Parts: sequence; C-alpha cells; structure tokens
Amino acid sequence: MQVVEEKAPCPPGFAFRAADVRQELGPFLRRHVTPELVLKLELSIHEIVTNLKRHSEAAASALLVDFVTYDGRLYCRIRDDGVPFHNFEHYWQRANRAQTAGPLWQEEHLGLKILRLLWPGTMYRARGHGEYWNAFLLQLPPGETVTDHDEAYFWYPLMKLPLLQGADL
Amino acid sequence: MNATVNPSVSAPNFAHPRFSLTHEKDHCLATFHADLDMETLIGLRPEIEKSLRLIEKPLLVDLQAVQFLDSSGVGLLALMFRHTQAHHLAIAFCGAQPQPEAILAMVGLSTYVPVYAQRNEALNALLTRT
Repeated sequence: MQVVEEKAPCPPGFAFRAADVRQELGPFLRRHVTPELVLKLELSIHEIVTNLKRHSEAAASALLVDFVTYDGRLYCRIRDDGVPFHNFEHYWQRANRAQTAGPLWQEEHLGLKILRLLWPGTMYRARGHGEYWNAFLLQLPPGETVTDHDEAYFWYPLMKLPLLQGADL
Repeated sequence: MNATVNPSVSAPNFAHPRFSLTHEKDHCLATFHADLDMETLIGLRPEIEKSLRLIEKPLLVDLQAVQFLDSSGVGLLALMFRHTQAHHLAIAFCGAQPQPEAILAMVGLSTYVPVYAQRNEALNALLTRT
C-alpha cells in the first residue's frame, strides 16, 4: 500500500478538533465517493476521532485517512498515532447488536454501535509499546469504487507520517 | 452562560452561545445554535441537563443551526425525548438539516419524535397534539 497523494494540513498535535477534521475531510470525501458514503464516512471518522480523544491515554498527534484496496476489496483506512484502544475487541463484540434489539438511539456506546452497523466488515489493528498506532479499515460496499484512483489518497500531514506510512496494514 | 428569569413564567430561561431554552406561555423552545456533537457538549451538557429538568410544557427542539449531529448529540436528544415521555409532554424537532435528519432516521429517533421542516409547522402540530 502506498500513499499517493497528500494534501490539507491539520492543526498540529492532537489538539485538532473533530470539527476541523470534518472540515478538511469533507471536500476530500466528496471528491472521491458518493454522497451517501460521504455521510457515513464523515460520521464514522468523527466517531473514531472523538473516541480516540475520550479513551486514548496518550492523545494522537496525527491522523491519516485514505482509500486502499486490500484482497480485492475497497477500504477507507483511518490511521493515527495514539495509544491503542484498551480492550477494543471486547467492546466491538458488545457492539454487535441482535436483529431483535430495540431502537439504536436507546443504547449506550452508540458511537461504536453505529460504526459496527455501518461497517460490519471493519478491521482494527494497533500497536503499542513505543511506536504506537491504530488503524481502522472500513470495508466499503461491494461494487463501490473511488473516483479517479482506487488506491490511496491523502489526508492530513502529520508529525509522524513516516511511521504510519511504514506500518504495513 | 447565564440563566435569566422570565417574569411571565416560573421556570428560568437558559441562554448560552451554543444552546438556549426559553419557557413560553404554552410550550418550551430548545434551540441549538451550533453543531450538536461531543465537542460542542463538553462542559455544557450538565448545564443543559439541569435546565431540561425544569421543562413542564410541550417541547419544541429547533435544529436549524445544526449542520452535524453525532452519537453524543443523539444521546442528548434522546434525553430530551425521555424527559417529555416521563412527564407526558409532547415533543417535536424542527429545521433538521440533511445530515442530522439522516442520523435521526438511522438511529430510529425520528420514528418516535416527529421532525418538521419549519418551526411554525412544528409548533402548530405540537400544540394540536397537546
């Protein structure tokens, strides 16, 4: 995987606001995917970023969003250099709602449940001990294509970009 | 952030750059003046919750200025709905922009709380239901 394009700078440090992320990310997403997917990705990336802020012991200073093809499927990949989520697998399993469950709005941990509902094929990878990073790969629906180019796009520039780019996910 | 007393009613109004709650003669009007997300609600949610406890009339929630709604915002709107349910009060949302409207539908809240395009339309429906 290779990042082929880099653009908008984000505010330095993880002092960046989720609102700033949305503002930078919106035009990028609108250029590359359908409006329906823009809405879903914008919300999902926002939930990931705000969860990072809430749950990471050491906040991330960098965020990179791009599209990648992996094993013949298209993913939106969101990487950051924060401390991995604690016990993510446990919470992800709990976010798997039964079909008979009540309305979504009534539930706790709604952000994660929305993520799971929108992207059931999500993959999460992380690394701790020294060089931290997290990566979410949201599997786009079959048949979805990214305009222009199917590999990778940009977003961000951050302080630890080389580290994230080097992470073979 | 400050609370002002409306002389015509007993409950105090609540005014903040991101949220206001006014107690009108026959209803309460909750207005969000910014996006409704986790960041917007930092430090503000406890104040909003406190002001919600004073609601004793049908509640109209104006979302006109909300361009973006996330799970934290949904949680707060759900809290408003629960409060009105517990007190047998009518509730309506109005002015939802495309993103908030889509999220309300996605989480199922708009099947419980009617969403109107215009404030007047919502108010008429709210008072009629009451």
